[in-house]
Amino acid sequence: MTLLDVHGLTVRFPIRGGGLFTRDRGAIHAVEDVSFALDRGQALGLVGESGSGKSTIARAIVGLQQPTSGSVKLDGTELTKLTDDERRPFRRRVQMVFQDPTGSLDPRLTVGAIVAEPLAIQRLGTRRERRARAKSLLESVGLDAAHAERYPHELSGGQRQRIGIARALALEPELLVLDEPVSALDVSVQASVVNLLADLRARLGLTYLFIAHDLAVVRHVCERVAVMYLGRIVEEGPRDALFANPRHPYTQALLSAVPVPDPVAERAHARIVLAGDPPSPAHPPTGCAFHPRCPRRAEVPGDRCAVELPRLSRAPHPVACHLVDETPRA
Amino acid sequence: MSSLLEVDGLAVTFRTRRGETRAVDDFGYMLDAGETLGIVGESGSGKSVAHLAILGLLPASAHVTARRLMFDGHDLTRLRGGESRRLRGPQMSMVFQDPMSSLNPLLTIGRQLTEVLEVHENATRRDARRRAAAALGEVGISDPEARLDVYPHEMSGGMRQRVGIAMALLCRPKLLIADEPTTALDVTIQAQVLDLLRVLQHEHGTAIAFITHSLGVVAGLCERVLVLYAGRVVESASVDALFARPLHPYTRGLLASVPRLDGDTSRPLPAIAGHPTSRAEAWTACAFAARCPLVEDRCRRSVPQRDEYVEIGREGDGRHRTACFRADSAPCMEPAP
Repeated sequence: MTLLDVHGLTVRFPIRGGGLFTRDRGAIHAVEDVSFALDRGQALGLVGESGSGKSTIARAIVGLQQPTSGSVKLDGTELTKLTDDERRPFRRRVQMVFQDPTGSLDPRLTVGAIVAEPLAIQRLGTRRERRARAKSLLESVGLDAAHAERYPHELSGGQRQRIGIARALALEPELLVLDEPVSALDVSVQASVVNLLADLRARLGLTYLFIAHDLAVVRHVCERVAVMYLGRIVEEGPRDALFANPRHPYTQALLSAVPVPDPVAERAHARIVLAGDPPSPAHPPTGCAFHPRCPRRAEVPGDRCAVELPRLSRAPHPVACHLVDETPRA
Repeated sequence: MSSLLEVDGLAVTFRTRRGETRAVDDFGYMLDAGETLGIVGESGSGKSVAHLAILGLLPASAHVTARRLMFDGHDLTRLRGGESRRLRGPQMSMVFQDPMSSLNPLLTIGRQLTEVLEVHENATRRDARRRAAAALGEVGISDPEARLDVYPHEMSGGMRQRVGIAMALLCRPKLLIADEPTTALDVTIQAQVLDLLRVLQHEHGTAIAFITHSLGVVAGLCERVLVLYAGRVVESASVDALFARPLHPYTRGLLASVPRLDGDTSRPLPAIAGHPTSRAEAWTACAFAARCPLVEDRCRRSVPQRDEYVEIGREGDGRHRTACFRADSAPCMEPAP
C-alpha cells in the first residue's frame, strides 16, 4: 500500500541580481520532474552527489520547502496545497533526521527537553508524561535514561545522532525522512547507528526515505534505490538488481568509483573515471544532463543525447538513458 | 639506504586552561622516497596533529617533542627560521581537506601559485605565471591560462582541490602530506583526484603520507598503512598484510564494521561498542580497552608495546607491528624472533 506518492516534483530557486531593479535571471533547477512512490514499511534510498537535489526533495516532503510544481501525497492527501494549520496533523506522521547532529540540537536544552519538545509543541500529555516518554525514547535508541539530564555537548557524535533519532520518533511517525544520518559520524560508530535504524524500522514498522551519498550504507538499509543526477532520477529499482546490474552509465560510474577496503580487489578493479565536474544546476545541459561527462555517449547514434531528454523506461527497472532505449537488455 | 622521513617518539601536548592534554604519544614511522603510506584514524586520533607537528605548523600552545625527526638527512628538531622554510614548504608540502579554507579567497588562483614560486625560488613574475599555468594543466584543469585569473569561489570543490595539489607540488617536493584530501569530495570526483595523485607520484617519485579515515582509499592507493587510535599507533603493516590479517582488535573491528558493496545485508553490521576516546590522557592502559571484545585485566593495567609479528610461512609483507597483548590470538601469526 502506497504511503508516500511523489509526482512530477519540481523545485526551482530563482536567481536574482542585487540592487533595486532586481529582475529574474533564470533559476537553479534543483529538482526536475521527480516521481516515486513509497509503500508502507519500505525503505527507499535516494543517492547522488552533492547538488543532485536529494536534500531539496526531503525538504519538500516534510514541508520545509514549497515546490514549484508537482504533488506530494501522504496516504492519499495532497500536502503541498495545505495551510500551516491543516498541515499540523500530518507533521506528526512525517518526521526528519538531519545530517549534522550538533547543528540540529539546541545546545541550551537538556537532552530530555530536546526529545520531549515535539510532544510539547503538539500539546501531548502532561509535563511529567512527556518526561517519562523522553526517557523511554532514549532507551529505545540505545541511550541511557540518565542522559536526559545532560546537554548535547557532553555527548559524542554518535550519541547526538541517536538523540536526533529519538526526537524524530517522539510523535510516533509513519514516515522518517533521513538526510545523510550517518555521514557525519566516525567510522567506528557508523555501523551501530546503521544497525539501530534497521532495527527501529523492523520493530516499529516505519517507512524510510533514506538520503545518502554512501552507496554501501544505502545498500544495508534500503530495499529500493533511486539514483539522482542534477535534479532528476536517472535510475530506480530494487536494491539487488540495481547494484548487481546498474543500467545507467552514471550509476555504473558511481558504483565503480566506490573504494573497496580490499587491496587485492582494488588492484583487479577497472574503475570508470568520469571526466569533468557535474554541471551547474543553474545551467543544466540540454538533452540528457549527464551527456557532457558520459563515457558511453558515442554508443548512441547522432546527437540524440545532447538534444533529447531521455524518459524513464520501464522493465526490468526504470532508467533514463537513450542507450538502454536503443539496446534493450534483459 | 636511509629513509626520506624518519619520525620516532613524537609526542604533542596542548596547554589549555584545563591543564595539559596529550593529543599524540609515541608516534613514529619511516617513509622511503617515492613510497605511499596510509595513516588511518578517526577524528581526534591525532593523525592531523602529528603531521602538522612534523611540518612545524602547530600553534605555540602545542608542545612538541620527538626522539628523532629526520627529513632527507636534516634534523627537523634543530632547524631554525630560514633553514626550516627552505625545507618545509618546497621540499615537504601539504594538501588540506578543505581547499576552500586553505586558499585565500581574496587572491586569484594565479597570484597564490606564483607567490609560492617567487618566495621559494625567486622566480620572475613572468616565469612564475608560465609555470603556474603549466602546474594547473598538469592536474587536469582545462584552459589553465584563463583559470589563473579566477578566484577560488568561482571553482567547484574538485577543481579547488586540484589547485591545492598543484600548489603543493609546484616546487617538486620530495614529500607530500595529504590530509584527507578527498573527504570533502563526491565519490566520482574522489576517483579523479586519487587517479591524479597516482599519476603524479609515478611521474615525479614523490613520497606521499596519506591521512584518511577511509580504509577503501588506503587499500587502493597505499603500499603501507598505520592505524591510529587515541593518539597512538596501534598497528602498522603492508596494505596486503593489514587487510588480509588485521591483528589489533580495533583494526579488525573497523574492517568488519565498514559497510561494503559486496557485504552480507541479511544481518546487522558487526559494530564496535562504545564511542571513540579523543584524548589520550590515561597513559596507564590500552586506550581501546573500554571498547575491546578481547579485553583482559592486563589491558587495563599497562600500555601494550608495539611488537613485531610475522605471518607463519611468509616473508616480507607478512611482517606486522601491533600494540596489543592479545595479538597472538589472531590465527596464523606468531611473535617475530
